[in-house]
Amino acid sequence: MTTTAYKYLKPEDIRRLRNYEFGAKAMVEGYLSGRHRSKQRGASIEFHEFRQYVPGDDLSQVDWRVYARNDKLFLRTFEQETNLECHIFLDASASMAFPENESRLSKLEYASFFAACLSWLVTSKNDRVSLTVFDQAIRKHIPPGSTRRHLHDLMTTLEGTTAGAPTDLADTLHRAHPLLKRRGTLVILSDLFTDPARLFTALNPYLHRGFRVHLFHLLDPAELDLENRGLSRFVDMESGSRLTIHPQALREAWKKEILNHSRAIRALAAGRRVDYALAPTNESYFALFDRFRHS
Amino acid sequence: MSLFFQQSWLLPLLALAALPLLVHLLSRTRPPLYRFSNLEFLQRVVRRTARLRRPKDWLLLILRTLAVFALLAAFVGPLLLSKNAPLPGEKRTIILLVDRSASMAARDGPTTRFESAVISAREALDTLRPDAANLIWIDAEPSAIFPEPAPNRAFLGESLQQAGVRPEPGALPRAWELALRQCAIGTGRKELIVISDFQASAWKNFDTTVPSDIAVRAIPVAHGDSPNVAVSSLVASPAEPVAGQEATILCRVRNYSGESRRTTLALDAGGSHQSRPVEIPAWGTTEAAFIVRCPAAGLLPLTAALDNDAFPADDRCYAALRIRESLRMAVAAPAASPESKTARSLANALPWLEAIDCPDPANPPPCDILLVPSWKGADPEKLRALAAQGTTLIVAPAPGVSAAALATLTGTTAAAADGVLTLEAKTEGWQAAPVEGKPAFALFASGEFGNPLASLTRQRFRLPASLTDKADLLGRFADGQPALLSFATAGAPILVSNLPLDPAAGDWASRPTFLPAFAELILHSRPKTASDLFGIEPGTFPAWAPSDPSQAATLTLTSPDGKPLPLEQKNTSSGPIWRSPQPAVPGLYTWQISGQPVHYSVVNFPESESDLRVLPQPPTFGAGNDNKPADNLARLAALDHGLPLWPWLLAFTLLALIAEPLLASPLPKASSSLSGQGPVVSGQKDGRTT
Repeated sequence: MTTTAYKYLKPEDIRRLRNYEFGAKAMVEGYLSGRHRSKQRGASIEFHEFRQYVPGDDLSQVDWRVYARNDKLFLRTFEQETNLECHIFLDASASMAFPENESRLSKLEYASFFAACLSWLVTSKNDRVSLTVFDQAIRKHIPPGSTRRHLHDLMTTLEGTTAGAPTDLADTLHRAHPLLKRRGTLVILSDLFTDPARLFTALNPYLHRGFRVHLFHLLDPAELDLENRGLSRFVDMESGSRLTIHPQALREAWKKEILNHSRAIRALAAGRRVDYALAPTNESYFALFDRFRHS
Repeated sequence: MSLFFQQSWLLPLLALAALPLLVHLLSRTRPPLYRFSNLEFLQRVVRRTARLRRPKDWLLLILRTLAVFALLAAFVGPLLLSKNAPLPGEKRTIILLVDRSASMAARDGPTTRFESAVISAREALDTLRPDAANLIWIDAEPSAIFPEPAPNRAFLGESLQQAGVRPEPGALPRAWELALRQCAIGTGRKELIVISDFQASAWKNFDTTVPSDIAVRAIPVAHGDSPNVAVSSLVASPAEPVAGQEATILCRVRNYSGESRRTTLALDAGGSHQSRPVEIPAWGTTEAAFIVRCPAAGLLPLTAALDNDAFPADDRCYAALRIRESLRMAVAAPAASPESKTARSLANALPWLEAIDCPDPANPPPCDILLVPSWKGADPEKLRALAAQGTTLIVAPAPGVSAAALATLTGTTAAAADGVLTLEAKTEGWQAAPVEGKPAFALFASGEFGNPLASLTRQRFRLPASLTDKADLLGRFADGQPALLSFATAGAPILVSNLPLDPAAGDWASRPTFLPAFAELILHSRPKTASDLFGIEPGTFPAWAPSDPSQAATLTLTSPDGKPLPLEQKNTSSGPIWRSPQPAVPGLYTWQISGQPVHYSVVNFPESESDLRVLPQPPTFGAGNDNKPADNLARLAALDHGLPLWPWLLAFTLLALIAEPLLASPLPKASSSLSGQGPVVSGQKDGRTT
């Protein structure tokens, strides 16, 4: 029987994760030759195409001969078999602590469970996984790795993460962009209380670099339809501002607002081939693994 | 309307109706804190929905308050009562004042006003169910069915059913007084229900003030004014013609409508019929004159009739004309005097004139004419009183009569300087002639029969100007001095003659024209009206006493429709009289002795009842009363008995409870589910898969 000492990695989860295969094309970009066949350009013996250099590209791939002839920087790309590099962005802002004092999992706990499982899954296949914990800034960044120790660090980091300051996902993505040396799969776990347009503007560089992006929109059921409670004074977990309302009276309008927000994100995601999933925290996060399989 | 609470001790419970408001206010002050992930979105939603939500919140608060109030109020047992309704358990006395005067016979639609009144009265008794009640009729002799309010409503119902309209005016003040007395006798809540057509002529200026403890309800049964035409009067002139004389019968017809009417008026005078069309202007009257010859002395029944209209009761008018055999002329002069001889000669020449002696002109025997040929100025007041009573006075002043006495006699005023009348004498005499256009001498107007006042007057009096100014000058002398003057009184005229009957003073009596002139003068000086010997009021009892009580054995009375009526004898201070026990209705009642008509009792429809206009609104019965017409007795009765409101309140509460959630939260829309957009998972416990 497998046992773990980690809060967010349960033996029964590991048992279940063993049944998941990562044959999906989304997860095949890595350095382990033969395991994942990639259509991404890379350093291999099989030439793929030339493409113009953009800042951030690996200079080792620049074809200097072409530069000598044309005075322009072009990259010589090859089709290669590569290993998986998975980058997990975990929103640890104050709003992720919702719901407080409830029997249900908070969004942060839910995200942590998922992140832990995903990390285990990736490392178990000798692929690399990184973790970026952020709120309005990057609170912790663990570079990609695939060792047991690396996994231990990740688990420890997840367990030590608490909800903190207000969210600024777009800024975090901007700041994290130089930290991710290699393209791979970007998994963002957040409640996405942000402007969709600004979010996707921040994602554009990643998409341009060829990252596959999975946007998991975590919401508590109480956030989806407002709980049926009496007159209450709502306190913003991030800003501390207060608002006295009767949730019952606003329920329909709130649901409509959230639906519109989700639709806006979904529309932008679809246009950029970004995988978007709304994940109510009362549903099993294992369903999210299916997103990788099918994308 | 008033509200009565059966469980009034629970009234303080109603204060709990403020509970929703208190809860609202208290919860507003200290709502529980709830830490939520994001208020930015929530504020956006609040801003968007505030315009709709705020009125809805108020509506919700009101609805909840009302629901709680209604529920609590239901327990208090409210009863909706009409304003003057008795409280539960309180006794109730109802006095019905029902109009059955002649105007109630007017037909409004399928029923008469009286039939509607009976229906309303019975409905009032059946629906209001008083503990004691009484019924008072508004007619000529108002009376109550019971001496005091009694619980026997069935008997009152029967009385109503058997009653009919009386062709008489209503003695409203007496009926009202009686009704108030009956109310005063009653116990508990006292209520007076007035059921009438509220005829404007009867009710317009009637004081309907009632004591504050009496509630009055008016039930008008007329649906509006009814147009009507009526024969309002029938007058003969002269009032008592002499056999052989022609009498003019004046029929007055009145139109009680806003449109001119054309109809036919017929007169029946003792079986002789005449008719003529008449046109009556809107709200006006017209007169039609019929000439009736009076062939023989006796009684002549007269009936004027119109074509029947919607209200036929007043289309006929009745009278009886007494035709005199002769006129009695009392002569206040010594029998041997030339004036007396002249008078007797006149009586001998005129078959319809009888001369009798009169020693004392102030106390003459019964007569129609009193001739005082040489009046010395005695008892002018008494003489004037005689004229006022219907005796024609023909007075010729004697020398030494003061102007003041003559003024007293004629009802004029004399100046102090007038003194004694001045006697003028002239040997060659003065010629007299009638004033043109005087009816008394109309016969002589053509000149064919000469000058009726042709004479040579050698002595005459100079009459003061103050006297002549106020007189009707019938004849004058050639120099303009008055020869014959007429002074009107309430009865017969007073004729002052300056034409002496003494042949020594003038030769008028010896002229050929004297006889017809004097006869015409007498006939035209008869009183225009005579005391009504025949008329009685409708609703009273026809009564009469023959001059010879022994004739009573064969005395009979027939009704207007020719049926014999029973008679009962009554002893009065003036002797026995016989009367019918049945109240009189319009028509001619004929008294007969040995089968011969000897007297008529004439009953005419009361003129005041012909005007069928009604008050636009029922009268006001004091400030404390419900002046609204009780047009729906059943509804009022229900309110009087108390309409329990608790079922309505409970129903309202239920409705409010149903409406509250609908109002509180809008109906769920068939919108797409958010969760449907995310991953579909079989189940989860504590964030862990199952």
